[in-house]
Amino acid sequence: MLKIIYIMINVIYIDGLLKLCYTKARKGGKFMAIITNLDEKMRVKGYSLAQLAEEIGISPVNLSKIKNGNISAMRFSTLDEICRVLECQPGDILKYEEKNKKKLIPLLLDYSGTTDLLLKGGAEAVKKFFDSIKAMEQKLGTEIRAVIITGSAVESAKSKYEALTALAENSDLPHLFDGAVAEYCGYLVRNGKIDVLNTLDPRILEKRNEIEEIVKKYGGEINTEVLSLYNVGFEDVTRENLAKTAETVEKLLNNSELETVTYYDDYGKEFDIKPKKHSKVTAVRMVVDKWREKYEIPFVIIGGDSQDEDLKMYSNNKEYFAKNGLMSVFIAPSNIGKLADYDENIIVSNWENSNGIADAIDQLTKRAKVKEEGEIEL
Amino acid sequence: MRNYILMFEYNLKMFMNVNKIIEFQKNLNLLKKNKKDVKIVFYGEASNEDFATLMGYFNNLVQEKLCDISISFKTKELIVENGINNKSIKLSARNTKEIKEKKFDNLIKEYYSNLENMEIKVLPTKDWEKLLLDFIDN
Repeated sequence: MLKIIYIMINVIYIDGLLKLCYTKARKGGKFMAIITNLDEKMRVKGYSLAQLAEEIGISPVNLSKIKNGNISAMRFSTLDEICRVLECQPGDILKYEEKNKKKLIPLLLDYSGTTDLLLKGGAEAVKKFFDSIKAMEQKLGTEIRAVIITGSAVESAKSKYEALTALAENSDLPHLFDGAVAEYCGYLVRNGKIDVLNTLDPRILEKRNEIEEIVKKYGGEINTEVLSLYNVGFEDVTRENLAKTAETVEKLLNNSELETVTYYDDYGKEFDIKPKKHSKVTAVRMVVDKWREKYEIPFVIIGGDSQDEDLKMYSNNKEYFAKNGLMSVFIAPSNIGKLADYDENIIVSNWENSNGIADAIDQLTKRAKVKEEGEIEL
Repeated sequence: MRNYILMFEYNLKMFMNVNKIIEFQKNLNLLKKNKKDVKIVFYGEASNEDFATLMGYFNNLVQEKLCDISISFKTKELIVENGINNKSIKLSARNTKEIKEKKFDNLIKEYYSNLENMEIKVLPTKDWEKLLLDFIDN
């Protein structure tokens, strides 16, 4: 009997508390919400909606509401059952997310082709690009922040990042370029020894223990924090060392028996280090995930000029972002061809005259609508 | 045709400025109408890659290959701009000694040996976009 009373009190308390949070937040004009992360947990555990509903003893309709966040309260007993079946903690499926976070639109640009294209139309075209950014920021009341997603040529990425930053700063957009993520960059080599291995490569991450042992033999350490890859981590890498790096990387990979494929850096140097799943995809995902913690992201813009790896930055992440309630768009030059016919979120514009990125941003600005509550819809 | 070789110290912030470049382009057109032309050479303590980027970006922004070479005091090399395939050439002992004193004549004349009626000007970076006006005859 006591147990029943205890459970009832809990149900009333939790139910009431959740409702209170929700209602108070709305009443205060500051919209806050508890969001559920059930979808991801179900995917990991391999449960369908119907299977999980049956296991925990509620209707699929009600479970669907919980999964999609269309609830203002949840029974403690339901939460208890979900955690039991999915073998997780309440915190794994419930998250508090402030809704009035600062808005930020990530602009993830492939570097070698795209950023060079950006400059090919000359100063007037760059001015047009900056104007298009300003117009979007003004209309949507948000900040746009760009990260250059690059290959392994960290040395030139650093120079180009700095040059682009200077260009943007001189055009009253000091916040525009946030950094460059070198997908497989960061070997700082001094006197033939590895000091730090910065990597986003998922295959390296998977094999971290094995790689770590090898790196330790060289007196180095591994750094897998995405933030360490941009704005920092560029020092002391010279072109000479980059070549040495390739040999070292290959050696490391061979030692750990990782499967490798061919990769070419910006100087045409061949690297046998590219993982099958291109890590530009991971880089995009990690940057956006990092920013999602701090900012409200209305949508994600990915820009690239190749049908292969740049398009994958978009296509391989599209579903992932959608699951997190994020829409992504891909802006591309006309060599992407008819792909735009199949996906309305691929914006194709003529990049031959270098004004194309600006045109694509303008198209997006025109398409975007700001609703009354400040919500942005594409 | 008179050719001016304008020597500027490496300064990314100063030269990566679209408004200054647009003004420079206008002044360059005026200079060309005056039957004169310019080449730009950057020098300073930056790395080869930094110079390569500055040269490539600058040429793209002005829509003309004005900058063919840079001189790195750091690596003691001459960096030759050629799209993404930049090359660098080790400076001779004489040139290395001279550039330390900002004497660029021999090095520049060696590189631009085919350029006639050439004049080398070592200029300040401040208001670099306006300096061409000084070379225009009224």
